[in-house]
Amino acid sequence: MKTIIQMTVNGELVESAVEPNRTLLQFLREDLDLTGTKHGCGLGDCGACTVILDGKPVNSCLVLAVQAHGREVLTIEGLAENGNLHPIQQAFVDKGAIQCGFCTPGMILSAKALLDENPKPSELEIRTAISGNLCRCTGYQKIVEAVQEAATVIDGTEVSS
Amino acid sequence: MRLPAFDYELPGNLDEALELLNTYGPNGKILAGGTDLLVRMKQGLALPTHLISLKALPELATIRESEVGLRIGAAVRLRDILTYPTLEDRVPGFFEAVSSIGAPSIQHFSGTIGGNLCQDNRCQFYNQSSFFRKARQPCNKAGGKTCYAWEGGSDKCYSVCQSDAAPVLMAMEAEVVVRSKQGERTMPLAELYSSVGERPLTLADDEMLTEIRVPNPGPGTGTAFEKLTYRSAIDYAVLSAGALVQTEGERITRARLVIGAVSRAPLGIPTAQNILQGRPPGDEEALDEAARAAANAAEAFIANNMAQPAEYRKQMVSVMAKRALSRALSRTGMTEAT
Repeated sequence: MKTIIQMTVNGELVESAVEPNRTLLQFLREDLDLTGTKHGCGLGDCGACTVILDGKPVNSCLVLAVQAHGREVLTIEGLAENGNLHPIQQAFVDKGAIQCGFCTPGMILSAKALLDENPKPSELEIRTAISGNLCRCTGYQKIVEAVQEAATVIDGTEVSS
Repeated sequence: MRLPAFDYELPGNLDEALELLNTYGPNGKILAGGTDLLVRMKQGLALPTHLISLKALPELATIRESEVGLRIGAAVRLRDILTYPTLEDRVPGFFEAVSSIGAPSIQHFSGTIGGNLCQDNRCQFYNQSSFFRKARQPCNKAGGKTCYAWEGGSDKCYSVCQSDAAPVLMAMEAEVVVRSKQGERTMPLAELYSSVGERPLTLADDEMLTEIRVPNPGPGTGTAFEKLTYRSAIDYAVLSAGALVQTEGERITRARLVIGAVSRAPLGIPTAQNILQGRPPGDEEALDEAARAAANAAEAFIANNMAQPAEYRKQMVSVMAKRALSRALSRTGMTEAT
């Protein structure tokens, strides 16, 4: 039986009727056409489907859409503002942290969840924060550098504003 | 991979949840974070008709202090345990165990302590897609009559309890509270596990774990958890060991050692107590002796149920046991100082 759910996705209130066995990942990709969130293993191992739910990073393939009712979801599509990339996205581009790009949305959202909570993370803290996100191109070093760069940029913006 | 169909229940309080559990019996399953259950459902290993969500039960998601220790709701998220004030200093072994579960993307939102303790046993021949499993006859755990993890087959299931929180909590003599519509019972955590691979928990179909009671280690007590993995995150233990050691004066008075990821249930090593009691903390030989006792006890259970060779796991039991005991011992002074 379908259930009516409401949630905020990238700042917009969304309402829909979904079957209980629909995952948040399917809901985002198939119902809302937000295909930036990737479907990797579907088992919680790879982190490609990472989104931010109520401020916390989560594997959306293991969350039921009905479980996200009333919550706030941030996907990779919600990061850029007015056509300008978010500093983490920009840093990934600048540092060459994107190779095939499949892990990138999840990596960036795990990094964002970290920087929101801890604006000046150590290298180890960055590596721990993205430890649930697998990159099969093995570009980890550049990803870590991009997150460090983004932390500096975000920190600088906040001081000057 | 898609989830099979089911009905979603969202009880507004614990009594309602227990009523639903009572109604649906074996066809109803508790959904906390779902990181174990939903994966098994996708693989066709669990096919409940009803999922009973704990989302609207905040009473199960809080940590309370009691005179004797912590009372942790079963649906408390792993991350909320890690960030609980002073927890790392009070019970470092428990902190280490919880930190080692999954990865931040599991710990922050979905993974719960109750879910970690109540996850189903695992085996490399069982936790696979239905396509993979179709190539053979079903094993004991899948309703068949053999075990592929045991050379020559067996009428017993050689799956492994992969809870990382359980070994150290058992070493600390934690208790669990279990509720059903009929009432409530409190028992040692060790009694939550049946040692039967096909059905690893002693919970009845209408029962659910609601609380974990973690006693404060007394003065002079140290705890530690060691986990052997091939990767530093999103990995199940190849082996693990939880330990609690208490010293008084220049003697060890209490030593609890539990080996994880080796058997159908976390494997307590009661002989560690006999070996270590009364020995001085610096007695390296005593630790070796206790570690050897662990290896001897574990050997009979280690099967070909993981990708890692059984022989390697057998040899590593004593290593992990000694590391956990040594670290717990090194912390006995730390606790005393606080």
